[in-house]
Amino acid sequence: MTAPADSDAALVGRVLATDDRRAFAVLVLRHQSPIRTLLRRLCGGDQARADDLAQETFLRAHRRLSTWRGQARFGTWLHRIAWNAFLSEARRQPAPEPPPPDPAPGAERVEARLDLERAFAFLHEEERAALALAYGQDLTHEEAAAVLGWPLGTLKTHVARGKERLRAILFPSAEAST
Amino acid sequence: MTRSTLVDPLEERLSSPPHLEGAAFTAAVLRRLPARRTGARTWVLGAAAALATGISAALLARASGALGPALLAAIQGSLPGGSGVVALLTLAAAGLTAAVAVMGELGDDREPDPI
Repeated sequence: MTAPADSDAALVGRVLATDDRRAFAVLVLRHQSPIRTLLRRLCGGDQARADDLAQETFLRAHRRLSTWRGQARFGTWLHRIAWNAFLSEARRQPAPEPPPPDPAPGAERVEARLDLERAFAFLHEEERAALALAYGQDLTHEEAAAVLGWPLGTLKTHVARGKERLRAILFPSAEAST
Repeated sequence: MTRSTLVDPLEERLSSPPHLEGAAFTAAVLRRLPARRTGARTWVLGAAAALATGISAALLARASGALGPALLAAIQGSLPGGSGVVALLTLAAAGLTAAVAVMGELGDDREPDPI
């Protein structure tokens, strides 16, 4: 059975065979939304930094396209590259210390209530990564854990803690009433 | 009986990411890609073609040693008063000689093409 002409595998094949830039453009267009969302959440709403990293992700993918064997979905493979790009950038330029877990509601937290991506900045890196990959990315929890290189249980623990913290930031009144 | 479904607003927001799709982003990625590989490919193909031409010229030079006198005989045979059949046979023999000469140069022990 052959893959449809516009499948990820077929497009990758065209890029590898003839350096087909149009085929690569289709791959970028198709996968940019989840990758950019993932990186915005990882970067705590810093859109410029996230888009720089998203571009870097696609450039790395282009360089290493021949290493994609089709065992994982192309999207999952891209997520792993994005996570590694984020990690290597974070090592070069460590992000500012995360804010205290439960500060008094300040202006930044009020803003964050309105913006989910910015609220991610108040989470620890592991919680951010777990939530960013486990939600809104069309990945199963197993795939998300594999991208991060964590056991499934570790992912679930960080998801639960991250959700608890996000809930306190985004819906403080509901949190207070419980 | 109506069933009430409790929707967790946090889960809902987490599961509904914004749709970020833009030609500008795609264009920015394409601009940062390395130069196309066709430049290097053209150089490699050109060098291979030049090499092939050189080898062919060397082989044909040897073959033409046998081909020259045969062609001359064929032309003489085809002139008025000459025998057309002899001219044709001589020409065929010349072609055969040239082919055998070329095959001899190439030999049979060529490496199989790597795939």
